[in-house]
Amino acid sequence: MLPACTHLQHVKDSSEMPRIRLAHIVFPIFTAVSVKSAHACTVCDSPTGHQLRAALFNGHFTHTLLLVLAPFPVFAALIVLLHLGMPDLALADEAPSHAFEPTPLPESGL
Amino acid sequence: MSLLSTAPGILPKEHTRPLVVAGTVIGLGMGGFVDGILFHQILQLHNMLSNWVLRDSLRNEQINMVWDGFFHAFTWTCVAIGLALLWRAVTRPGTLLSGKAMWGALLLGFGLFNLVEGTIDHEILQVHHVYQNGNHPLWDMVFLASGVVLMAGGWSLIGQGFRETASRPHAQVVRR
Repeated sequence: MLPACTHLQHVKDSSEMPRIRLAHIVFPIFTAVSVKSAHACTVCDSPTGHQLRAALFNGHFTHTLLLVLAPFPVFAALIVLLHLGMPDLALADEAPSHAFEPTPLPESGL
Repeated sequence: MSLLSTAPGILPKEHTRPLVVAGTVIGLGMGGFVDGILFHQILQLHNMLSNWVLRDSLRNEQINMVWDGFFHAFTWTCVAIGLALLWRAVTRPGTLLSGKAMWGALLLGFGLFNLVEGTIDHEILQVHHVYQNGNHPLWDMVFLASGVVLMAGGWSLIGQGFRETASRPHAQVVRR
């Protein structure tokens, strides 16, 4: 009779390992979204949600959105100006290092 | 390393511009996140429309939060575009790589955000102020001044960074 393999005794039988079932995933999610406080969101079917959507998506929505996003076209224009108007950089007064050699850049640019 | 040189002592912008533009766009978006996370969420000094929709009820707080979300979606987009530009810059042959210049560009973008957003939102449109319930003209001026300081500091770092990097015998340049 073979001796017991003691180094294997701590290993559990695979049937004793907990199996993750679909219910273990679905149930917590269902519980979370069914709690009343979760209905205070912009898309939920609740009194708070209805009030919020009425206050947001009214006749002033587009106007307000344009005003909120107003800085971004200015940002874009300034970035374009930076790209177009970026100056050449003046290096130190001493002669440039020998590592600088005129070499044509490839065609790929910005 | 070989760099195109049109004149002695001049580093053409083709070597510096890609990194600067990319860093500025990223810094612009990150500046928006600093404002959004620090002032809107942690300190709760103001929200996007807190001067138009007073935060005196839960509904009004939620309205402001939604508009914050729209604004920050665009700052997120700025960071995403900046990352794409950065990738393009570091894979473009001839781009001079400088960590100091990159930091300078980030500060330049951050300062640009403060200056432009501060002028448009706080002064012109007055959709909100920096410190909604306090002495907001003072805080608004400090915010604008911070933008100017950041831009000036960033621009200085950009120049320093590229000069230091270009002067090294083995400067990091993206090769073909």
